Amino acid sequence: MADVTELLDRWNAGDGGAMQELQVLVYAELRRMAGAALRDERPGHTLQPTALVHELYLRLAGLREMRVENRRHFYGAAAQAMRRILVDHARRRTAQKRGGAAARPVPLDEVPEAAFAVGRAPDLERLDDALSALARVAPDKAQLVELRFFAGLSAEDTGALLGLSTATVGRHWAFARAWLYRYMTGGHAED
Amino acid sequence: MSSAFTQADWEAIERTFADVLDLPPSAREAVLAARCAGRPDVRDEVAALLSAHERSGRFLDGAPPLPLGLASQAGIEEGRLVGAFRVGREIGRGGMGVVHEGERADGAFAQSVAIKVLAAPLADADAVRRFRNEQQILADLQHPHVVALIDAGMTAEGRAYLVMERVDGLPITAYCRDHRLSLEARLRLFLGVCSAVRHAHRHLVVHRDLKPDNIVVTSEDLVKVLDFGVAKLLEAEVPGRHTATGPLGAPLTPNYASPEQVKGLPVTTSSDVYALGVLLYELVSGVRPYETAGLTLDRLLAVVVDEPPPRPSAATRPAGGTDPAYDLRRLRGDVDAIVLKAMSKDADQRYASAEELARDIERFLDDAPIVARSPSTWYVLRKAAARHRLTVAVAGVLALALVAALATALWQARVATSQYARAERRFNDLRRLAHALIFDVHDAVAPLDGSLASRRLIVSEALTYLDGLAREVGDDEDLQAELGRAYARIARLQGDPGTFNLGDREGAMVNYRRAVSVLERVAGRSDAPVDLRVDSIDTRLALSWALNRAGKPADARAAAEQALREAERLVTDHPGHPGGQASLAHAHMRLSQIAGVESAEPHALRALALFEELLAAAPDDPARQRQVALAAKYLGSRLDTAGKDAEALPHYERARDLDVQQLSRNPTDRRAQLDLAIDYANIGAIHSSLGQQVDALRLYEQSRELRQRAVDADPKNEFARSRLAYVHVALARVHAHLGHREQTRADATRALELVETLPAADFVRSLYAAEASLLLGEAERASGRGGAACRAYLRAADSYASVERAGQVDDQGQRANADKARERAAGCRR
Repeated sequence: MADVTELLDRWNAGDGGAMQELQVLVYAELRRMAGAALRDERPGHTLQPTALVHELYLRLAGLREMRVENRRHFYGAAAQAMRRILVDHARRRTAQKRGGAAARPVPLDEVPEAAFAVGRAPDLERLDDALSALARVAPDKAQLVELRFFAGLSAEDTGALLGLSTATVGRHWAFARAWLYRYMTGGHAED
Repeated sequence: MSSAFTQADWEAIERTFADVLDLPPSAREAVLAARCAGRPDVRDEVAALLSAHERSGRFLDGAPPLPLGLASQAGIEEGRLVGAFRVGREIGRGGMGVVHEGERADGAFAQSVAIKVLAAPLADADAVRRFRNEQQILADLQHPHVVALIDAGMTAEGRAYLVMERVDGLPITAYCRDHRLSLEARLRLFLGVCSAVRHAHRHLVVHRDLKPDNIVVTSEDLVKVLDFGVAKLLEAEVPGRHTATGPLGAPLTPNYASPEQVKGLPVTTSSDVYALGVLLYELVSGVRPYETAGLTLDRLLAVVVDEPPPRPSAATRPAGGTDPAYDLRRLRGDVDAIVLKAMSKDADQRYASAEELARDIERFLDDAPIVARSPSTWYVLRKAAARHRLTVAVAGVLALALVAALATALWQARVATSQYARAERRFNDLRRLAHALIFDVHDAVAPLDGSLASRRLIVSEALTYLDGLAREVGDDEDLQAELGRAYARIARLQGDPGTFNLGDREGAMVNYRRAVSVLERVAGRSDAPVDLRVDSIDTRLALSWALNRAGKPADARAAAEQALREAERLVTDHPGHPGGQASLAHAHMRLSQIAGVESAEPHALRALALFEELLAAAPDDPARQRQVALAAKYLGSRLDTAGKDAEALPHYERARDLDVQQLSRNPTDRRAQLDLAIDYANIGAIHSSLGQQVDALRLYEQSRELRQRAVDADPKNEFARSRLAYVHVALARVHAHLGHREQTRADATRALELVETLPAADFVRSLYAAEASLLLGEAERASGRGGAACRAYLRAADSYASVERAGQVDDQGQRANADKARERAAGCRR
């Protein structure tokens, strides 16, 4: 199994497959760690993806100095992996529910908007769709959401990775959030 | 968001959104209208986004929590048996898996245990092997403050489990808090933890994950350390994946992890000393030296690696946190110094061992000067004064007392220094050894493929340390036992003929002898610990085997007979002890191989019966299955050699059935491949002697394929090569029976090539070369190639001559072949 830094160096040197390898490595490792960490779950102690992503970085890259663009790719891959893990899990759960005899499909337009407004966890499947739509319009904003929401990075860390000021991160974040919210609550005109 | 927007539109929308958002709501409408003049679509889009923003509340606030269902992790069903234990209800879940309560179910005695089932199945055969090695080491850790590992093994699904002493109590921190212990009581409790850690370090086991959750105080106020070495066991889950931060899968508890652990450097005994320092900090101050939860990555690294923690006496306790039942100012000076020395960022600045840390705490409790502080005169005098209960209030007495105290202090310091120097030297030797053996040897040897050169280097380095230790070991029986075991382990790595080794037979023999001589000193007495006696017997048997392979059958037999006597004594002293019984069985098995023909069969029968008894007590235990398989094989081969083919067959088949199970559990395990390969060949040999050559051919081919796989995986492995050579000889023999000249020639030639690569001292080299040459000669002759045939016959005659010189011809077929080779060779010479 290749080393993260080596993969990133290869990728920088033009080896396109290296990024995919990195993504697979990060995904597999994160998935394993998420599973292991959850087995350690204790009551009253919620585990955040941030902790996992940082730990993954420690495990895979260690303390070696990493160029900022490499860090960006690493965290980008980790955030994407985390998105996939969480979204896939949500999908499986939905599929299980649908499989039940008593289950009945809920039309999308019945989902009450209030579910988001009170800060409940968003419907990850729909967030995933919305994020993919946002990526078509503003890919940089979509990545920012991945880093901030799925990898749980702070505005400062995100800014440092993306080479943006914290204030700019804040502005982009507000835009992306509003855009996604509008998309998910049906206020969009695309369909 | 109609798709009519261009990229430039989107940029404008974003900019406008951001700018307008900064304005007070009342001003937004006007600015928006002004900015979007002529573009009502852009204006509407921004307005919709602003409205969404207003309504969005806490949307996407905070990362999503990980869903619990992600790690649906089943324990094992209640009522099921694992080893000798019945699984009870689940009592907890931890990072490593699910914990059940359990009861001994074999009726031997009542025992309640905790059974931990590891989260993931062990990844592959190497992982399983490492798991077993470690488990063996852990099982030896017997200490009042160490929670004993009673058993470990694999369930039928291949999940590893650990059976441990059941301990109910509170984590040490909670216990101190709830009982409002005084500083002194806390330190005494902590000394128990140090002694557990010290004991483990002397057995070359590093805990790696010391933290309050792993240290429990029972209702009898006894402190117990849990999960020794389990972190290491867990690494077995992810084989061969080493990164800068060390093997993946090992737990990392940031609050207690040492700088070197965070940096991914090797974990050593010193890392445990660091964790002890953190624990001590928490025990005496009531708070952790630093809180890592919620830190960003960079901060986490900086805190653990670079930033010195505040002195415990200066720790800021959160409001309401009233843990220590004493004034924190009491920690100023000595306790601060002890804690900070143990927690030094630089491992060299820490106490060299848990023992030294404990000694400094004892000194503090005795009011003696501690090592952690640089001894200023005033400090030494103050300590001396306290120790001698001097009345410092009286000036005259004070002066006198100071002189006396100074003298005493200086004298004691000198004594302490020289004792220290010795202890430290000894410990450092041990520590270097521990390092080399645990980390370098274990880890480097663990992925067995290739890497011979570096493994040799590591073994020779470890030996240097051992020899250094041997000079200092003196009368310390624990150390002697450790030393003997270490020599035995080295010997095994060098040349254990039954496994994959470095091929250094002579080195192995030397070190087996050293191990035997050290171990018989400490294990010779009838009150010696059972495990030590078992090790002594096993080592003698290993020596016997090595002697036999080197063509010294008389010495080999003497060693095995000595081992048998020791084992019989052990079983008499401890009837029913499985370790003793297994040793006795091993001794019988060895003797069945090397004793004369007449006693071979009874020894083999006895060995098999003993192993079957052990297996019956734990039918799923893979180690016991393998022992039965081996013993059945030996018995079969004795019967087979004595011409009792029909009687041998069921034993061979018993072995095959067990070995098929082993291999199906671990399809890539090379040892399991070879085990089964040998069964196929044994059964093939019987078919062949019954005249069923086609069946024999099929079995030998199956056998060859498994052996070839083992050789491909580790081409330098001499044991695997010699096993492959054997089956090519057998194949050549069957092909010859069937009149397949070309195949006979091919297999015989291949056998001879392989034999060339075996060490000259190996007698099987001559044995295989002899028969292969003879078969080759016959095939060449039948094909009309007289010259080639003669070359082969001459070589066959030579080889048979050396086999006879080594006294290894004990079989009529062999004798007949030897005669035939001589006769053919003579014909060629004529």
